[in-house]
Amino acid sequence: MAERDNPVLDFDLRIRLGDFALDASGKFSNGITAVFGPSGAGKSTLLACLAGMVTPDDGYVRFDGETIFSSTERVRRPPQSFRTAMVFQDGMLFPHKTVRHNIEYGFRLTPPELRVIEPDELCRFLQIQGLLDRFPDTLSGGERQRVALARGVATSPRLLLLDEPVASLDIRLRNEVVSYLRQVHERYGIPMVYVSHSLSDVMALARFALVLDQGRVKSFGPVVDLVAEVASTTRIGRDDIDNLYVGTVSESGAIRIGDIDVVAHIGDYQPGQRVTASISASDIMLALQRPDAISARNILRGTVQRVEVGEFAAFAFVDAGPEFVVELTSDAVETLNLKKDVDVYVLFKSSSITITAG
Amino acid sequence: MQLLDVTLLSLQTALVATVGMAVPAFFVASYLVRNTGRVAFVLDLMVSMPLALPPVAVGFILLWFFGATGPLDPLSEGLAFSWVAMSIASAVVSFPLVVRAFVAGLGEVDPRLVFAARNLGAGRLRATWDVILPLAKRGIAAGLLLGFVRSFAEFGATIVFAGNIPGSTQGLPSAIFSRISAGDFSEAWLLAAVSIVIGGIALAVHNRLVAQQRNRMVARSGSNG
Repeated sequence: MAERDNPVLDFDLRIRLGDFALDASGKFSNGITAVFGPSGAGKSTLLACLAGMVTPDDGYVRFDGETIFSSTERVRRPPQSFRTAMVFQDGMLFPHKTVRHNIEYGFRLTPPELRVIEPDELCRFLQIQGLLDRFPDTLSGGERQRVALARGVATSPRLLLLDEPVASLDIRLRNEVVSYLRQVHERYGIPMVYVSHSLSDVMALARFALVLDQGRVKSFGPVVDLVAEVASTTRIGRDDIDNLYVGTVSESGAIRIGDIDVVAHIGDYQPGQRVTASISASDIMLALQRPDAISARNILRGTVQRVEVGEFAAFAFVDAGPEFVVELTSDAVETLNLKKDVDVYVLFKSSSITITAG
Repeated sequence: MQLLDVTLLSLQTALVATVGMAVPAFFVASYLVRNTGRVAFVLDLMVSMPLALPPVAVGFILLWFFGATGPLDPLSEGLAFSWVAMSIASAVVSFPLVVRAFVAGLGEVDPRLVFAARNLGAGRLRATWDVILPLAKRGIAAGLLLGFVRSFAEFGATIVFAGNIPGSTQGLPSAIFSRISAGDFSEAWLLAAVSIVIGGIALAVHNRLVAQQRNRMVARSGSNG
C-alpha cells in the first residue's frame, strides 16, 4: 500500500503517569483508524499525547512527515500549531460562548490560506444552523457532539482526533453522530483517529484498528480481523454490532441505500430526506435459497466475503450491495457450510431497522 | 478636610496596590494551579510568607530591601516613606490572599477547556484571555476585592516602611493610631466608622461574588450530570 510509505500519522512513544505506563507505536494512513480497547487501556492517554495535551517521556510523533514531538531531536511544538482537531467525549464546548462563536473560534484562528471548509456550509451539512444562537448548556447530547464536531472540522484540520465522541450518548443518538462522522470523512476527506471501547462504533466507521490493552499495542490491522479476535477471545465488552447505512427516503417509502431499496418503518421522514438506517448484526438472518413464504420484508441477494468463527460468536461479512455484518452461531455456519464466495440471501424484518435523521 | 484626605489616600494606596498585584498574582496562581512539584512548593511558600510574619517584620524587611544598604539601591532611592511605599507594603502583605483566591477561582476552570482552545489554534495567552479569564472572572474579581480590603486595612508593614507622616503617608489606619495615641477618641471613632463602612461594602461584594461563582459551578456540574 503506497499510503503506508507516507503515513498521515506516525508515532512511537512512551509515557508514565503514576502507576500507568503507555508504550505504543503506529503508522496510520488516510481514512479512519480506530484505537480500540477496554477502559483503562491507555486510549485517551495516547490521544492526549498525539494532540499535545501531555508530553510523552520519550519517542516521537509525526503528522504528514512533519515532526511535532521528538525526544531525540528535542522537538516539542506547541499544540496550537498541530492543526489536529480534537473532539472530546463530552464536547468541551466553551460554556460562555454561543454555538456560533464556539464554531467560529477555531476557524478565525486558522490562517486564511489554510481555510478550506466554510463554517456556514458545514453547519448546514451537520444540520445545526438552528442552534447557532444558543448556549452549550441548552443543547442535547447529540446536538452538543455535532457542534463539537463542527468546531473541530471548521479549522480545516489535517487530522481529526476523536476521543469516544459518542460514548455518553444513547444508542439512537450514537448512530446519528457516528453517521455524521462518516459523512464528514467522506465529504471533506479528513483522516480520523477514532478512540472507542465500542466494537459497534469501530465497525461502523473504521477500516483499520489499533488494539490497546494495559498500555501496550496488542494488534494493528483491518477491523474485520478485530471482529474475529473479539469473537474468539471474549464476550465481555462486546456490545451489539450495528450495520450503519446512509440513504434517502424514496417515493415509495423505502430507503434507498446505494443500489438497493430497504423496506423500513419510515415514520415521519419525507421522501428525499437523508437518513441513517441501522440494523443490528444479530437481527439479520442468512438463507441459502430464497424463502417463498416469510414475513421478513427485506430479502437481498449477496455473496459471503468472509466468515469468522470464534468460541463465543461467529460473524459473516456479506456483500449485498452494501456490506452486511451478520452475527450467527458456529452451528449455523457449519450447517449452511458458509464460506467465502457462497451465494446467500440476507433477510431482516423492516421493524429491525432504526432510522435516524441525517 | 483631614478625614477626606486620609480616606482618599487609603483608597488610592489600596487601589494602586490591587492593580499592581493583579498580573503577578495571576501568573503565580496559574503556575500553582497547574503544577505540584518542588518549584511550586517553594513558590507557594515564598508568596505565602507575609501571612505568617508579623506585618511589622515585613515592613522592616521592605525597609532594608528598598533602603540604602539593600539590593535595589540606588534604583529605589527615596522610595521609603512615600505613598508608593504604602502601596508596596500593602501589596506585599495582601499578595498571598489574592493568590489564594485566584488559585480557587482558576481551579474551577476545566483544564480540558483550556486545551480545547489551544487545540483549535490559540496560543497560551490567547487561551488565557478567551477561556480562563471569562470562566474565572468572578473568582478573579473576588481575589482582587479581597486584596483591596486587606490593603485598605494595612497598618503594621506600612507604618514601618512608609511612616506615619500627616498629609503624606498617613492613611486611615495610621490616622486612627495617631488619634488614639493623642487621646482624641471621638476622631478615632469617626475614622474607624469610615473604615467599617468602606471595608464592609467591599467585603459584601466579595462574598457575593464567591457565592455566585460557587452557584454557577454547581449549576454547571448539575446540567452535565
